[in-house]
Amino acid sequence: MTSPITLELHRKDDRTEIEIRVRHPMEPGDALPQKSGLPRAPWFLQTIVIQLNEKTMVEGQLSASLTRNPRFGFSFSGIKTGDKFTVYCTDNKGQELKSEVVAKFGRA
Amino acid sequence: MRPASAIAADWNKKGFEARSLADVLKSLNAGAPASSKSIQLKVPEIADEDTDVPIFVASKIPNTQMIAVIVENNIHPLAANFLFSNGADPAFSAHLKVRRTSRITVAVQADGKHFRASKEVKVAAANCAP
Repeated sequence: MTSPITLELHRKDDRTEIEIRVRHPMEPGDALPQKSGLPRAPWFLQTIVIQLNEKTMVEGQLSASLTRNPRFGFSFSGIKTGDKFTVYCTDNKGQELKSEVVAKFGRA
Repeated sequence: MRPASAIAADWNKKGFEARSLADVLKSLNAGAPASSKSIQLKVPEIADEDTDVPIFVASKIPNTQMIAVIVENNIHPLAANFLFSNGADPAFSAHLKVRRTSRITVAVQADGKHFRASKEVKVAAANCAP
């Protein structure tokens, strides 16, 4: 099964941007019941962790105020071919998601 | 490393359930942060879609450890907060739900001190956001 987290690396001069997309409803839940009488339960990502070669660089706490299928961008300097990014997410239902990408840059 | 579930246990429930900027800042121990021009905050002046408002934040304040995003007029204003370590650049882009015209404030913690920057986003027609 493919991970709900998609990672892409973009090289810009000496900086490398990681683009993170997560497939997730980011549902805030309803204050009021729907017509069916059943309120929608909240279901959203609560945390995101970005590791570079297994060292934690960014720890984020998230809420349903982020857009559905949220996207994030972070940038790093000094990334070389072979460096590995790992991204972990957890949601409020206890689901854990993970994805990895290894930097591979062509010769100039 | 800490497993992802350990970090989930740290989720700032109090901050995310707070209803006002003051309570959010309190939950972050940020008190009354000083306004800073060293925080770059990019948001659109007018949002085409209230469910997808792009934001870019970069802090030039040395030793920035944390950046929090607060949509003041959302029911729950705290949208996200990020901790940076091991030399990570204190900058990010993300996309927000902004339920109606609101000031967006970012709070930055650097060396135990707190700073802020704010910009208003006008939302033309509200659909449904938190």
